Amino acid sequence: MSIASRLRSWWRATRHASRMESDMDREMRAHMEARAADLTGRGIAPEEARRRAEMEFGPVAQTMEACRDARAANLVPSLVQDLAFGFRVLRKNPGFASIAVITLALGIGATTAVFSLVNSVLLRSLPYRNPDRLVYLFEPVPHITGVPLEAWGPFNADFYDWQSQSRSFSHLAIFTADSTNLAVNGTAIRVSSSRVTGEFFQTLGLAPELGRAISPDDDRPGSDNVAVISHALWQSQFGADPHVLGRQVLFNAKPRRIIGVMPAGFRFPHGAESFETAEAGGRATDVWVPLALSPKEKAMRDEGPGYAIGFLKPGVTLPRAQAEIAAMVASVDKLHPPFFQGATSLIRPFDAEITGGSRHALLTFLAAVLLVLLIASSNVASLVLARMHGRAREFSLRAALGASRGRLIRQLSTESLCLAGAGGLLGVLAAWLTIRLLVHFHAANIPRLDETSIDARVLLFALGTSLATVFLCGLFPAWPASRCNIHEVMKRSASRTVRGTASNLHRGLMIGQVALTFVLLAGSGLLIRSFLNLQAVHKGFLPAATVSVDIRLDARYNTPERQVAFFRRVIDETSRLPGVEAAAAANFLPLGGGQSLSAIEVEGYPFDDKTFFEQRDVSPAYFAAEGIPILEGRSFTGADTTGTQPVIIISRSFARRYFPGQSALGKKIHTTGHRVVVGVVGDVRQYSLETAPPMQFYVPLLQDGQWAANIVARTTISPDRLASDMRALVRNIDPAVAIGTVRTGSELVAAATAERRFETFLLTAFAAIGLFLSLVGLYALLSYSVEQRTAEIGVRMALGAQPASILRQVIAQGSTLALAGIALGFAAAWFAARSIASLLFEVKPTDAPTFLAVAALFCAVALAACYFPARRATQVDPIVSLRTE
Amino acid sequence: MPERLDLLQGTLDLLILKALSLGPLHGYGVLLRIGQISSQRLEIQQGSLYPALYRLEHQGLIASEWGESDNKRKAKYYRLTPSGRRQLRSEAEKWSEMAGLMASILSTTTEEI
Repeated sequence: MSIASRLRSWWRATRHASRMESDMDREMRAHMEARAADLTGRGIAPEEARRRAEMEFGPVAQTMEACRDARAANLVPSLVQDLAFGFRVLRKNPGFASIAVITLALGIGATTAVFSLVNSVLLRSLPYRNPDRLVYLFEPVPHITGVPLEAWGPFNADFYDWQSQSRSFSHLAIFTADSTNLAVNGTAIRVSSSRVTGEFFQTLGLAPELGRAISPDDDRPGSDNVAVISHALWQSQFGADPHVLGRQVLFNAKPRRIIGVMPAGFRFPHGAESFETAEAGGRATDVWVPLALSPKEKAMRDEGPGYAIGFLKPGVTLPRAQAEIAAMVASVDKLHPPFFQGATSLIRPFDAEITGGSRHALLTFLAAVLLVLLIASSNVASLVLARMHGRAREFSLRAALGASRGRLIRQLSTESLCLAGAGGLLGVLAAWLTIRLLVHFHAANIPRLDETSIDARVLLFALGTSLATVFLCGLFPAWPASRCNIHEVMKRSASRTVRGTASNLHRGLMIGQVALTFVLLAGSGLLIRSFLNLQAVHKGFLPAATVSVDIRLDARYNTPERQVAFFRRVIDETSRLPGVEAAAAANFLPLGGGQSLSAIEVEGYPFDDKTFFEQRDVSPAYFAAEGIPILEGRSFTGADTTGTQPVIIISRSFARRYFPGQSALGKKIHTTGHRVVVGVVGDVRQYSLETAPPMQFYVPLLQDGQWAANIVARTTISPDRLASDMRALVRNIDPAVAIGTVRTGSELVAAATAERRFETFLLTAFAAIGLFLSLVGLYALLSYSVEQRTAEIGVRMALGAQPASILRQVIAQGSTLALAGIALGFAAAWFAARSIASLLFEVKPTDAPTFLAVAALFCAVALAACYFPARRATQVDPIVSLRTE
Repeated sequence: MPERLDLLQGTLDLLILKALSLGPLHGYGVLLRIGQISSQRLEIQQGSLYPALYRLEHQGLIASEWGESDNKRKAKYYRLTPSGRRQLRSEAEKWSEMAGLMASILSTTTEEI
């Protein structure tokens, strides 16, 4: 008897209900007729024979009902009946129903929202053909430490070796992620751009929606004056003009012809986690142009400006491709310059490289939100349980009238189904709103976060969650209730003795709920402490009242003199703007993204190629503009320029480490040229607020020249004013150069702390929901128990009990539960906190002050939740209470 | 007239399977067949036959179709399915094992202990 045959039979019975009814009727009539005919054959009169046949057969209606039950034909009609009854019951208890539905909506909504984040960031596959065969290829040099893996794109010549010889890949490409001046109608704007080799679009397996993609033929010097643009740029700059193909644009002051428009949503490589660099900026690529390396560049084994991606041939595994490339790297290792010898290869799956860093945080959120769901379900379960006690008489009556235990459980589960259905619908709505808000603020630099939406998988998840809560909060409490003992209930309701207050199950649920909430609270407490620590960290510069823009020059500025002249003029004119105290230029700003590490030779020490120093190229007023203290010596001046004595300024840690107990001024350091130390400045957290500043040095920007620089101004005027002033000023100097994004120092700090703020906010929101739910639960449990004991309290008050002692007793009952839960949660959180250690900053996962503070806070609010029901108990009027039964 | 026996719980299903293993029958025919093979010592409440038939059909142990009876009347005929045949075999084995065990327990005398 397979499940399938039962289902088929049930389906036939349900689907063809009327035919089954008439068949049944005919069959039984035929039976009685056959019996009657038999009896007539034995000489009994036909009239009498029919009567006897009917009598022997028994009650037809009951037999037919039993047949229907046997084929489960009753299932649907009685389910409908149950649902209707469930709705009626809930409508009669709007208080209970609304609290339960809101609780479930909070739980299901929060869970669904977080799941949809996880879904879009981690689960939903990338919009490329066979994304699982897409990989990144890196060529790291292990002995050079301190450089992130993402910085190790392959050396040009090595890459072209792979492309011509490798048998593991059907396509390979390199690309860059940068930012460029693009002039469409004479006005330059800044766009995110990418230079790509000929097979880039083939590797990703994506075709343009208009025109054609960049082909290997375009990827040659001389025939590379083409560009592919994004859907967004097509709309914003060309008004979605269908005749855009063939139009000329100035790309870094060089004319290029538009040959294709990519479909909406395609924006690689910008927005991928690995490429959040200063040069990249922006979250979506707007323009793709051919990389078009010259034969000389292609032969370089010490240059590798691009990142590499590849598309594996069918059946080739990642380790096999890795082994092949590793062998090829080893065979040319002798050709690398000595510093880069010992290079290896590393191949990583594409999707992990795009979202890998957010994985842990997202999974932590998911775990936290499942705790919230558990709290919400157990809260509803205890509400249902409390009501169950109130309905004991109803159930015993129904049991006495012949309802089976299964029938009672089914009735209760349908009621929960109604609750969970309403909660689930509201929850999906809440999730939708939450996602809107999260995406709108897009606080956390999580790649693909803005693609978050509710899709079939999310809806399925919400449905599953709702059904799970039905099980947790419906079936679970229904079990003991259905076992009610009729005698017991009838006896109890007649008596007026002290009743059991809340069942052990109910109390257990409460303790568990408090414990789970404590775990959430402790986690969010630790994150809040981390966040406060980060806010209090000594940054080394004064971000308030600074505004910066970045400016990028094009190929026309091909000598240091031209670059220096341009930037000097911009700085001079900016510092003369009204309200500007100081203006300066730097290649990278503190927390503005971008890193430059150098190994240098310090006077009196042997050259050490393992120690890296942070290098910054800055103009004279930089330290004044950024508020970095000059501890010794001087800043750069206008006299430090091309052709004068090369100078260098070092950071305090640098001076202490290399020149302890003596002045660093006048010491010699060899980096780009032999330089003399002219000043010592304070340490600055440049790259990240969360790591202690390494040793740093500064060289004059206006001595060497730069292709790009950030202009920073210390000013009292609004960022918008300054931006428009600067835009006019730069356009006046050169209309083909655009200013990039305008950012205030506070925005840079906010962006550097955004991810942590987002994590802290989310976890704290979960903890707050959990706290709210468990307080509601505690309040409801005590209110219920006071209500149940009204008679008892009345008797005691009539016998002279003081209100204070009754108050104490009820509060003691509640706080015992809360304390037990807190103790349990304390222990659980102590162990669970280790899993979020990597999300913490300068706080141990088992930080005693945080745990104690959270415990104290929880105790205080739990006491408040107990106080109100307790005070109600003291207001019981003995006369009224004795009359209630 | 021989003494009539009350039906043990659960034996009706087995009896129906046995009766149908000898050939397809309609409902009333099942009753007659059981009476015949038990030499009229078992009598089944006529109405209680149908829920059992429907249950067995729901479990896929028997199947039914409408046909014509000996006296040219329309009747619903039941027959054993392959899985019903397997079920009958295993139930019959269990039954005789149990019956043998019960018989040997009940015939035990004081000397044998």
